[in-house]
Amino acid sequence: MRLPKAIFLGCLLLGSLTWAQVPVQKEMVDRIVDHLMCTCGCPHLIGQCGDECGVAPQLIHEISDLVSQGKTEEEVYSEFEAKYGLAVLAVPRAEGFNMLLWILPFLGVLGGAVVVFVVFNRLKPSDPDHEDQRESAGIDKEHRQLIDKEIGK
Amino acid sequence: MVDLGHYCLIASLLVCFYGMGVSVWGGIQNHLPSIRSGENSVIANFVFVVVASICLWYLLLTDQFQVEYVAGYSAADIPDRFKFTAFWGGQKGSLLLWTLVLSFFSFVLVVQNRKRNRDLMPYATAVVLGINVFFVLVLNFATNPFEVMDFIPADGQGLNPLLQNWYMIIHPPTLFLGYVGLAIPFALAMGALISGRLDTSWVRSTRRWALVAWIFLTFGLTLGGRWAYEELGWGGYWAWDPVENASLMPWLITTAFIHSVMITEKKGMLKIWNFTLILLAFELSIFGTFITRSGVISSVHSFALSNLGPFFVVFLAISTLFGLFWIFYRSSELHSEQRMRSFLSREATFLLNNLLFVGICFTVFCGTVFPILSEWATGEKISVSIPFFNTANMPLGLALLILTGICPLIAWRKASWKNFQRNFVIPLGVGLMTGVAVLMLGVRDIVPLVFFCACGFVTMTVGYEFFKGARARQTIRSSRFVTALADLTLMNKRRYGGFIIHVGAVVVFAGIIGSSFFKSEELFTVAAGEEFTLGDYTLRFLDITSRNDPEKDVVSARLEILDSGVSQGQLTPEKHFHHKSEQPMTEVKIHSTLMEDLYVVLSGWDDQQRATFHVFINPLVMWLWIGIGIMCLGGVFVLFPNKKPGPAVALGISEEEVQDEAA
Repeated sequence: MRLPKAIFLGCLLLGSLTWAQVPVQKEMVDRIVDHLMCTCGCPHLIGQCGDECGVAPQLIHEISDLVSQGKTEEEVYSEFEAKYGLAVLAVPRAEGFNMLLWILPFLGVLGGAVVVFVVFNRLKPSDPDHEDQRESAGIDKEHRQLIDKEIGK
Repeated sequence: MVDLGHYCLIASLLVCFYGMGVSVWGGIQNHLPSIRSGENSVIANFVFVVVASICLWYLLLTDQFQVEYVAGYSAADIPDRFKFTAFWGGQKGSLLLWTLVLSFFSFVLVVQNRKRNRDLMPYATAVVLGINVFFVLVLNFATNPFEVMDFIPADGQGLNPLLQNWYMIIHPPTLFLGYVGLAIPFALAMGALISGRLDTSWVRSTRRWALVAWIFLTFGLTLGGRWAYEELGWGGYWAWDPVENASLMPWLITTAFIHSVMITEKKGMLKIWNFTLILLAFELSIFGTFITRSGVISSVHSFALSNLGPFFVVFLAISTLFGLFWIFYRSSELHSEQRMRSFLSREATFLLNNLLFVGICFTVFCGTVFPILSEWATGEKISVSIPFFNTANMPLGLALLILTGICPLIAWRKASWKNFQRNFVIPLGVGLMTGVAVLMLGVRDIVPLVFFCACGFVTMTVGYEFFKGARARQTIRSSRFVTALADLTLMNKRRYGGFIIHVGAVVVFAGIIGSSFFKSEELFTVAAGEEFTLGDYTLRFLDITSRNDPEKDVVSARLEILDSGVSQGQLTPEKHFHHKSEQPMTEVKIHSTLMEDLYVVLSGWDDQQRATFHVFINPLVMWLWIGIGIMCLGGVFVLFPNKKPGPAVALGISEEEVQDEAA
């Protein structure tokens, strides 16, 4: 095996080993790596990027260190944000302009619901009984009997 | 071959322009020879694009490295099958593939409608040729696959190793068949709007095309997911990546259309809405192509940064305005023929179903484009990834699943308490029993619990529907239940094929919930001969070896799966180091069962025969693939014509009406 590969994989192994050595905080680390982006330039979460890019194991090591120092999840996010920028968060904090990210889908569905309501009201007959008669008139007696027979009424 | 390919693309452009003009002229003047000439242009265009494609394949298979595209995406030492698939390995070739599929579908449209839809065909022909013009224009002037370099390199750069697998042979063409398939419903819809032929004839033709596109999109999305699962090595199949989202959005809108078009066919309602959905589905398919090729959003699936963005933005704007103009222009003629009586009716649940599909699509759209918006507004780069999409879509997905059960069983016009009791009490009971069973299996988390309840409910509603229909037929025909069930299904493929798709959707939901909520993973660093355990699996690390293949170095670890000390087989996860690629490639090994996947990645190793494995247990992943298979089969089943009609149908009442009455 060529030397650079050995070194590269050695790094991976080291990072992985460190992660494996902190079982107590593992659950928290697992949660954090699924909420932070890898900084290698790929569009993946740290938890998804670990085996390919080479950067993720170092980030996991960093997170494990912070967790073992007693930092809370929120503090780890803040430290990462300060160090790597806002883009490291898998979802931006719901503040300022980025609040829109959460509001827009809600508004979209709400707006859609209003449209459905309006459409429904526009399509609602003013005289339902008259409408029923009109609809029933579409099927003559012979056909109605056949349908009744078919469905076993 | 280079010149021939190039000239064919130029000829294709000219013939598309000519056909577009002559079709519109023929349509306006009602001049049959012009209309036929326009349709013949579609056939000529297909021939030119086929010849151009054959030229590119020839150049790839014969290693003509003076062609920039061949040098960039092929190499002398890659197998012929990958030289063949290098056709769509890069941007230029994939756009030619898009054009090839589009010209083929345009050809089928024209042949299929030689005697049908005559009023709208001149305009539909003009529209498909217009779309062809755009792509051939781009191929000729922005991204020509036949561009020749000043020098001839000794070898090509080769195809990205990630693309050298069987999934990548069929995934892009399948997805393109889905994407491009949406251009035909768009053309038919525009043809109907322009010609003013707004009866249901366009709906029938459009629905089948939309269904074909939907089947291909479903299959293409699945292949993409399976590829990601096996090739990217992170243990998952869907990462809400922008390109994945871009292919999901037209699928969602097409699904909404396939549902709402039933209301138009049966009740003459929601006509404007259906035109809007067709327009939206088409625009989203173009948007997906834009996302993949413009480089505006970073993705593992996207092509390198290119100059194509402005072309696509202009085309998106023109086609959207064109569609909206005609919908607005004809809006007064698109009034509903019937009225809606109650929110507790099938019509209303179809509306809600559409709201949810479009709502999910809008949510996905927001999450996909928001990083660009935010950067414009705040100047700071942000990321929007899995946590947002999962959180925002989960309640909508649950509502959609529940509605899948309600929609087919609720009565048309207005549901009564009696209807509710007759149709829903048993399925609701089954749903609750499913919840209890899942609870007894140890699931305590409320979200998967509710989802599994909903899965049980929907499965029962579908099962009950088959049962009721078969019983009714059995009573009338005095036949055996199985025969009655088969007849019922075969005589109304559209209705029961739809139910089969719903069953598939339930299985898919179960697979997604299982693999999302109950996944477990662990990193293990072990020496040769040592064992480690995750869940019910014990693995023994046997050894690690390396070998040098002609195009790559391979490091391979052998693991034995043990069950109570007895060997259940071996797994050999690998790392590949392709000579022409900087990044190592993970070769995942998966031990699949119906209940779970044991997914093993070789993460690292040292010279003392110690290795680190990233091991995942992904429950119910198999269900996901099976469910999607069922959905696709259901879709194909719907496409087939119905068995000979029964007496009711012979009297002019469709079997569907009979079944609807039963419901």
